[in-house]
Parts: sequence; C-alpha cells; structure tokens
Amino acid sequence: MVIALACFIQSTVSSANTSMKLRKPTVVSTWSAVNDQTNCLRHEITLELPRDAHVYTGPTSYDSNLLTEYSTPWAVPTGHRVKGAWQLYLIKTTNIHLRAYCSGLLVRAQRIP
Amino acid sequence: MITGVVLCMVMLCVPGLIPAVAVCGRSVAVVFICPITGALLCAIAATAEFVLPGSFTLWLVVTWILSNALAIGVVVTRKRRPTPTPQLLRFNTLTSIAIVASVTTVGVWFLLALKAPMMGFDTQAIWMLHAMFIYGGHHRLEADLHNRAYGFSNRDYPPLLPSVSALSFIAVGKIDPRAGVIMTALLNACALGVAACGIALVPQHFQETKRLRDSSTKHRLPQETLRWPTQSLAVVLGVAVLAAGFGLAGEYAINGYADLMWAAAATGAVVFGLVLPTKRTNAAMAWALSTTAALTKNEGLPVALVVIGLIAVRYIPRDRWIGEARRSARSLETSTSSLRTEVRLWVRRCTVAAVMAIPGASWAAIAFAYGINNVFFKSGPPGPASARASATVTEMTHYLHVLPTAVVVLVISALCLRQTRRTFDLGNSAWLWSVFTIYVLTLLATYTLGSLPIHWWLYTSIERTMIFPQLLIFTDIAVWAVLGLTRLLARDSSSALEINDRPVTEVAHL
Repeated sequence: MVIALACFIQSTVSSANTSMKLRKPTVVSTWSAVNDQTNCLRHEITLELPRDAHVYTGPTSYDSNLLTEYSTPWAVPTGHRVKGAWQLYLIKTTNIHLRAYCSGLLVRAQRIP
Repeated sequence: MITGVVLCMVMLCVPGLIPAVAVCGRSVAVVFICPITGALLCAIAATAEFVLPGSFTLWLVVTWILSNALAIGVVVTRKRRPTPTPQLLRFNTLTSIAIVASVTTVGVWFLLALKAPMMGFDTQAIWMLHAMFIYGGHHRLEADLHNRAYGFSNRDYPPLLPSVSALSFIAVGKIDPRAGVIMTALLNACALGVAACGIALVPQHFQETKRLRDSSTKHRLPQETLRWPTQSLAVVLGVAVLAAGFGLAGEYAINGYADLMWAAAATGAVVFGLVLPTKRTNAAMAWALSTTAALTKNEGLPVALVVIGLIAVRYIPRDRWIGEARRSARSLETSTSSLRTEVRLWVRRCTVAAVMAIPGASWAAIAFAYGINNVFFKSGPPGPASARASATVTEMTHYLHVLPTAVVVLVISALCLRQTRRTFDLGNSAWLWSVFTIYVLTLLATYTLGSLPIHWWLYTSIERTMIFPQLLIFTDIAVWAVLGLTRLLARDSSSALEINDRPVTEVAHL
C-alpha cells in the first residue's frame, strides 16, 4: 500500500506541475497571439473570396491544409485545381503595411482562368 | 462566449439527465455522466444527420425526444431497490457529497489551465472541421466527408466530440472554435470524473452488506470500524486518478484533442464493467462509457469491443449458465451434451456482446459503407515491420515507467489480498490486465502495419495513445490500495473483536 500511495503522490505532484506550466503568462500570451493570427486569416479569407466559392488551396502541404481549414466553412475547398474557381495562397512576409497582413502571414486569392 | 458554453452544457445535461438516471440509477456518477449521455445523444443525432436529410438541430430534437421517452419508460418500469437503513443512507449521502465535491474541486482546478487559449493542431485539422461539417447540415456533412480536399482530416473519425462542438456553435450563435475546445475540456473532466467515481465506489458493496466477513481470519467484523477510513481512501485515490489523467494528457486535456476523453471513458468502462461488482447498473454504465469511447476516437472502438466482450463473459459465468442449463434439461427430461451447453453459452455471450456493441460500432460501419476510409492502412508499411515494431516498443516503454511498480503491487496484492477482493465482490484483476495487454498489442500492430512513416507517426501520437494504458495501471494500483487498507484495518479490528468475544474472566486473565 505504501508503494501505491507513493506512486500516486508522485503522479499528483507531477500533474499539478504540468498544469501550472500551462498557465504561465508566456504560454497564455503565445497562444493568444496564435489565435489572433488564425482569426485574422479567417477574416481576411472572407474579404478575399465570395461566399461558397470553390477554392483550390494547392497540392497537399502544411500551408495548403491550413488554408483549407481557414477557408471552411466560408468557401468550399476542392481537391483539384480544375474544379476550383479561385486559388488561395499563404504568403510569409514582414511587410505590415500589406493588405490582409496577419502577424507575418497574408492570404491572397487569385481567380483560376 | 462563456454564456454560450454554459448554455451548451445545459443543452447537454438537461436532455441527458433522464437517460443517465435510466443507465446508472441513483449512483453519484450521474452528476458526471449526465453531460456524457448528452454528448452521446449529439453523436447519434450527427450520425442520423449524415445518413438522412435534415439539419443537425432537427435530428438533435428528434434524438432528445425519443431517447427521453425510452429512458422514462425504463425508469418507470424499474424495480425499486430496498431502502437502506437510515444510518447507511446518511453515510451514502455524505459519501456522495464528498465524492462530488472533491472530484469537482480538483477537476475545476485543472480546468483553470483553460485560461491559456490553446488550440491543438488536430483540433483545427480534424475536430473543429468536422464540427463545421455537422453544423452545416446534411448536404454539407455528406459532401465534405467525401471531399478529397479534406483528406488530411481523418474523415472517418467518429462524431461525438465534433457534434458537441457543433452544439456549442448553436449555443454561441456562430462558429467559435474556442467554445468547442472548452466543451471538449469539460467533457474530458467529466469522463475522468466518472472513472474517479467508479474507484470511489469500490467499497460500496462492502458498505451495503451488514457485516464484513474476512475469509482469511474467519472473524465477523463490525462494519463501522472500516467504513470511514476505507471510503475516504477510495475517494482520495479516485481523485488521484483524475489528477493523474490530467497530468498524463498535459496540454491535450485542454487544447481540444479527443485522446483523454476516449481514454477516460474506456477506463470508466473497465472500472464499472470489469472491476466493480456484477450489478445491472454497473453493466449499463460500462456499456454507456464503452459506447462513448468508441464514438470519440478510432482507438476507442477496439477497446470498447474488448471491454464489452469481457463484460459478456463476466456477466454470463459458465458455472451459473451450466447450472441453469442442467436444471432446465432435467425438468424437460432431455439429455444435453456438455459440448452443446458450451456452444449455447458462447452463442449467448456473443449475442449479448454484439447487441451491446451496435451503438458504438455503428459509426465505423456507416463510414465503411459510405466509402470513408482511414489513411492509416491505405497501403502497406513503408519499411521493414521488425524495425517499425522495435521503434514502437522503444517509444512505448518511455510511457510505461509505472508498469514495474504496478506489477510489484499486483503480485504482492494477488498473494495477500485475494480473499479481501472476493469479499468486496470485485472482478478479478485479470480482466483489467487483459484489456491492457490487448490494447498494447493492438497499438503495436497498428504502428507496425500502418502506412505512415513510423518515426514521424510515433513522434506525433504515442504520447496520446499511451494515456489509456497508463490510466489502467493507476486504476489497478488504486483498487489494490483500497483493499490493502481494508485488510490492514480488518486485521486490527478482528483481534480486538476476538478479545471482546471471549468471556470476561479470560479477558482479565489476558
């Protein structure tokens, strides 16, 4: 029983430490910034694209997956370029004066001819 | 948004209350299983929305009405339990208050970490996307789950958590992923709360019997001597398992991932179905929790099927079945061969297990029928199986450092506390360890035979897939610890009783 109790005391202390680490102000501010960027990109997509537009986000990659996520449910992502009316691009930049700038990233939509 | 989250919780708890009472009776676990039952109803509504035309709201209302009508029927026709003695009633009430208060307090403390607005990678890529599909109605859901553009999103994943997030969108009035994440964290806490309640209820059967007979010493012991310390330790260890769950999951408990939810629900299913005494309400609780695990994540389905299968074997024991079969054979004056009896026993067990598995396996069957396949077995493994297995075993051992302690506890306890475990009417520890072994082997086989690059796959998931076996280990240690304390106190009390039972002169002589 002593072994069992020692095991639980150690796990509880460890759990409490883990939980305390997650509440650190640096963690809170980092995640707030990430969420702000996500919300900003979602908002910019609604400005770049008409509602329910069929949009192609590029061949499967980390960025294209992000664009597919952010454009849902405003637009309808498609798996093929030929089925899309628009193509979305995620561009990394430090130029804060550009339109649709969201903390280092911006979205651009281009009509597919 | 907070108002929306509160409203969403109400929309889970109110329709889930009567079904929860129908499932687990007057148990204290109702408090924590209530939102989970509500979530199960959301999952059923989402499944109906996928198969049949109509919006999520429409199917939700239909599911609420039908399930509550059925539950009212169950509650009304249920046989009433004999009323316990006033003393036991007072003890049970105080115990229930202590369990709810301690589990809630510790759960809320861990949920304070929600102040960091975390949103996991899979949360966005899988769970919130699926929630948006469900929120969009039948046509959107069907089209999106077949859309190749969402190929990265594990489209075959079950709908329980996305449907709850969709409900939170309805409550908030717009698509708000943060509300979905908070609801997921609350359900994680509730699932852990149910498992904690199960551990806290380990001494329940002992309290309900008038006196405890310690089979090893053959002395009848006054119940009151053991009642409070045993129950207190059970509550403390239940809460400790809850804390361990939050610790093992880390940020995955609060960033919208589904892994803690299914692991906690499956642990609860093991506790209620394979550890606690064989009672109808315990089996019903285990069934509800297994179904929750199966409808939360793909890993939960095989675990749920194993747990349900073992429950069928445990609840239809060979001795009782053969006894009944012999009695009926004698009364009918027919000769029944033992092989035939054995076959009938297994047919009955399999039938019961199959019926219990239907709700949990329904989504997997529907997804398969509609051609929504998972990405993990699209092709063969991209490397030698032995290297993949070796890498998996190496990674797994990092998360099983409590295993040697648990084995030591198991061996010592199995030697010293077997009789005490029988006195408590608890299931054999072998049931729990069978689930553990089968899960670990299934996981090993999945990583070995799956089609994803092994090192990347392990790096991104092993931390989460190993939550369940670790929770099982902690649960087993907690149960043995409660039994250990009882045995310790019983030994002291029995020697005291032995002296008191002797004639006064003999006591004076001693």
